[in-house]
Amino acid sequence: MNAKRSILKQPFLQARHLCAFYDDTQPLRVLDDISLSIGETEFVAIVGPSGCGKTTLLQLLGGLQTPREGEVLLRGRPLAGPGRQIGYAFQVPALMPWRTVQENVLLPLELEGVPQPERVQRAAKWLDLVGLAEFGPMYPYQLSGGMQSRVALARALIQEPSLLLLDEPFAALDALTRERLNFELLRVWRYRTVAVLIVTHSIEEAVLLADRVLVMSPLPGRIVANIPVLLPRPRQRAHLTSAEFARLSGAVRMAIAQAMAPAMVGDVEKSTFQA
Amino acid sequence: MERSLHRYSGRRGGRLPARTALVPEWLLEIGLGLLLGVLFVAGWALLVAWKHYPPYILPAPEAVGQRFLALTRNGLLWRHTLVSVEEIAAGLVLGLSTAFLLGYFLARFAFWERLLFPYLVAAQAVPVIAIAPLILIWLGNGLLAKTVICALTLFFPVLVNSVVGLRSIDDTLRLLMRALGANRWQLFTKLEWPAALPILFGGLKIGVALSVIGAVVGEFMGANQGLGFLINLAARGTMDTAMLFVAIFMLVFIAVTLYGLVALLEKRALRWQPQQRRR
Repeated sequence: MNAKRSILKQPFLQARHLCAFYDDTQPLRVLDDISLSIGETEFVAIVGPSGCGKTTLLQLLGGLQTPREGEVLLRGRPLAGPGRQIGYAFQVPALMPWRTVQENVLLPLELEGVPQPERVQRAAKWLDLVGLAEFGPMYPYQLSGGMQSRVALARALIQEPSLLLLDEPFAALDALTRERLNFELLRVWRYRTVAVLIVTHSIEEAVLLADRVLVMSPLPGRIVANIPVLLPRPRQRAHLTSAEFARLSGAVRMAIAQAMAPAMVGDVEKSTFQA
Repeated sequence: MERSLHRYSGRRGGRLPARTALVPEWLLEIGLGLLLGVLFVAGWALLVAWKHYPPYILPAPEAVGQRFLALTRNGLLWRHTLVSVEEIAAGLVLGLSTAFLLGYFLARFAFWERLLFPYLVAAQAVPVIAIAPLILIWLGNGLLAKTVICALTLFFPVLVNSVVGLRSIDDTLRLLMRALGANRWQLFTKLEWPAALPILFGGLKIGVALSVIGAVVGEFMGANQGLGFLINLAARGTMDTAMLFVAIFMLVFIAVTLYGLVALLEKRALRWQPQQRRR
């Protein structure tokens, strides 16, 4: 049976009928019956209105929360918890102010028990990849917001995970810095060595980065649309002004609007029914 | 690329463009500090010369100086100072370690904090001076009792500081440590300890100053040695006001030295803080 399963093409990351609740006692749902799968080298974006449970979904997929209903499978096996195969970047850079940039980047290796010379070497490599080669000995407070985000990205990638989960990693940045970091992210990912799942509330960011955009509804979060982005790679700034880009952004925007509208209609219907 | 060097060099120093100074800043600081001390002693000497106070009310500075030399020569001062320093050191070790351990426990388990804090506040409301005699009755009038009294004096402020420090740790950093699969010990050494350190140092500074008070309180209540005993002896038995001053200055010296050591340690340990660099 097991052998047979492994012969069949397994999706890399799969969520089946995930539900999440506000707390153990209340039936109020944050996520409602979410099923999705992500390929081994895919770049997927999740877009949705704020407060639709995107962060919860990402934490479930990363093993930081265990689902009460449904399951998460990584390479066909139930996810036991966080691990080095999963890299994480949060809404804030979350750097330790008492560590230098280099010490922040190598933290995952330090916790893993990788010997010191190798740690330093790998940190240097990743700092170089995010364009901060000379900034290793600096402290986080000496860096701009955009640079701090890059440090967080290097830290998320240093264990060379097979899955990278990004929770609005550039949300706190200005539009220009954000766009530049999007291209940096694509550059780091260009050899498709890692599957990426990014949560964002920027439609443009989602379309620019992803192979596929998943649209979530307001609470309780459900996936209401799956929009493939067939823009050629490598993505370039010229794509941002292309007709296809505008069409895709429009499609995502429509899907979000549609997801919002029935919810409101539903509320109205319910209240008239009760009256 | 964000590599404009002026950006971080500007933040690092945070200073205005250097003025052309005649004297370097550190020299000015030390010079002014010494000048204040000299002014104080000069004012004191002038006051005594002007009002002709008898030596048992206010001895002249040179009388205190002579008493100091006499007391150091016969070894009396060192003996009593050493006793006090011992009590202070032991009290610091006991008070700081228990306050930090309990603080860590209370910060981790909110239930226990809610349960225990009212009692801790109540215990703090009882002045140490009031319970010091009790402790002397229970533990005798040796080093142990003084250590406990000293530890009690500094316990509460350090405890509150520890709880606040550990509570103030960023939730996202905790989440990060969990995502990286950190164990309990790593969570403590790599996150909780360094993150709480700035606030712990605040507690340490208060604790160091209070420890000197604690030791003297213990010695006042019952002792045959220590600087507190020396003060008692000078004030009540012999009216040796000059010796009283010598003992007080010695206490001040101990407190300032300890505080200075903590400040130095803080500066070294918290090099990552922008405000520490600027100093």
